[in-house]
Amino acid sequence: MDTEKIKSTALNGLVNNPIFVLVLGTCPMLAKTTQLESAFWLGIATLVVLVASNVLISIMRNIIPQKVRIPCYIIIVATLVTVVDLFLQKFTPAIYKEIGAFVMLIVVNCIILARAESFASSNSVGYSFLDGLSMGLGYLVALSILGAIRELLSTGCIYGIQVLGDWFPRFTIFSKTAGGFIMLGLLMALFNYIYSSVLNRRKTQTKLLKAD
Amino acid sequence: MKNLLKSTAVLTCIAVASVIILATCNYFWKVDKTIIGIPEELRLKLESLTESTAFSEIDTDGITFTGKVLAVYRATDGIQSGALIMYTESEITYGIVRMLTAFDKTDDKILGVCEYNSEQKTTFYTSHFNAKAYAVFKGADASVINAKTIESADSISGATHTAGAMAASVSAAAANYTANKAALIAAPVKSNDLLRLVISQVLEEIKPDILARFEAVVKSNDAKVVDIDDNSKFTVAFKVTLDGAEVAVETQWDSVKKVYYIEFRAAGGNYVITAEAASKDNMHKASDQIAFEVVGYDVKAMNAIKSIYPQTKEIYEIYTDTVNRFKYYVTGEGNLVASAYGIRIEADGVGYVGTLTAFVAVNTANNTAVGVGAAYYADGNDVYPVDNAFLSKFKNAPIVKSQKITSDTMTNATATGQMLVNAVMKFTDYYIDHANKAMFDSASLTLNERLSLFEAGGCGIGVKNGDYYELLNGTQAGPALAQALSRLG
Repeated sequence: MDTEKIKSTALNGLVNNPIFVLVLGTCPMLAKTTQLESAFWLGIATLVVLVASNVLISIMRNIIPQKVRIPCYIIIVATLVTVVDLFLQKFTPAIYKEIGAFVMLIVVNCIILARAESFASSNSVGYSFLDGLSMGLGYLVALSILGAIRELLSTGCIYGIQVLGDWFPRFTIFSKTAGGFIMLGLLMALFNYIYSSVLNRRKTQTKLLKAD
Repeated sequence: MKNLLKSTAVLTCIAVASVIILATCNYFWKVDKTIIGIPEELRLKLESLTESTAFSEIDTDGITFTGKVLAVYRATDGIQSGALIMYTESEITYGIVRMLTAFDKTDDKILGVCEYNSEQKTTFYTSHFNAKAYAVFKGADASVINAKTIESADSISGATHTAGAMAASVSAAAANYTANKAALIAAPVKSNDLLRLVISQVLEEIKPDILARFEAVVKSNDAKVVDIDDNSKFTVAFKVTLDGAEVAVETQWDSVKKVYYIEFRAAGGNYVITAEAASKDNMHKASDQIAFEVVGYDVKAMNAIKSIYPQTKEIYEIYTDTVNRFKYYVTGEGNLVASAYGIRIEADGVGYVGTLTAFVAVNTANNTAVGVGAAYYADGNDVYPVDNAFLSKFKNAPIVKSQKITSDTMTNATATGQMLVNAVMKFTDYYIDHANKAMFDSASLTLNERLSLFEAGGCGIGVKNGDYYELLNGTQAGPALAQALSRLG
């Protein structure tokens, strides 16, 4: 196993975060990050589908003809999404009631097809699993951060639990789509600022090492 | 070409695998969304007690509760699927409190408690209905509920009476849950007025001697709990009883009309048709019943023959000799019974009070009477029936000419008793003098065999109608009938 590749694949979800860097899957992100609970569970559902689809597509990458790869990927992803949808419907009806419509929309989430096409179709099962996990976690964490902040600012709660008292003014705009865009923009700026700062620091350290 | 075939094959394989996976998941994780009928307000309360969103009321028929259990609900989805919620009521001096208590069937802990509603008899204690100490019971073990706990816990309103009533309700719920857990888990979903049975044929037109074809329509009502129109998801079983005894029926489902046809031989008596619908998973059950009496039939003759052959469920009048005033009946089991009808009963000093018909069945093996039954027909005055003990005197009695039986001294129905003796004597004379014994020799035949015999004899009594024989009453076909029967003997 290539240690460097494992490391880069594992960090892919952070370095190429689907939300803050690649800006993929923004539609469900805007709609379902008004509360941490729905954001978290949508992230979990996406994570499961992403990991499973990456693994399956990687397993079948040598069997699937090039010309029909996209229909094949879509069938696989749609099947997995339907399985997740049925599972949530059966075992977590309260959560399903919250995010049900957006679970089915995972089929058309760009991240899934993008990872299938760009990674799983040309990498081994292990790497594909790691990539799915990494990207899925990146998506889950991004959704959760957005959901937590938007819920806190608009209601004073996190995961339905009152955190801020009545003294805190409720910024209901953050429960709206416009507030979602604003918060996404702010977080993207923050993320990229931190990321570029880290990169710059590393570059500086590398230069210093070379100078030594 | 090769690539095209490969692409098609791969796509097809993936599609088939997907279908199999989805079908399997759908089978095991299918969510029953057909349960409707719980009021929204109640459903919201039930939702607040559990993590489920769908509930159904269960049928508690046959389960004995202590205290007032108004209903029991079952959660049908989510991780707490199967949780039971008891709806109980307690009364206090100034009102009634109704509580909902949810139990987790896996560990018997209380999932939640809430008040569903309450009624106050007086406004004096309005504030006392503010007790809200539900949290006291949450997580408690159903078997160790202490009704007094909640009273001290209700420090919010000080509504001790209400709190006490709530505690009593929860205690009753816990006690009943503990005592009946297994039965409650196994109980089917309750359904009120779920099925409707309609008998399309006018009952008065149903004759005992024709084949009756009922059209039983099974429909759901407005509060639709099950999709009864989809016959593949349901089975509907019909049970028909005649005077309590089950009758064999044939059932057919008309998928176009959404109608069940049930077919059976109609005879006189009280019918009860029960339809029971059950889902394939046997979790949803519903039943409905319709009762009616078939009229236009001589129930008295039926009862008299039943006193001889108790297993009789149907009788057919097959031959009438209007000159000598005799009739012959055949039972569904093929037994032949003769009757001497229209025997006038006159009591001393009273004059004519009615008529009597005596029914006699003969055992041709030893020429004895299997038994004698009697039917009485009053005409303006009461006819005093003879006691059964008197009738039993004829049982196994030898068939001899001018047979005499002692009068009925037990019930003192002397005139009736005497007329009965005369009627039996009339029959025995007729039986011996007219050498009509051949008619009884075929007593061991089944109904259809006997009817076939009539048809073969050309007497015109039996008319084949599909798989059954339709009989015509009162046909003057004595000689032909006797001839046909004698051929058998």
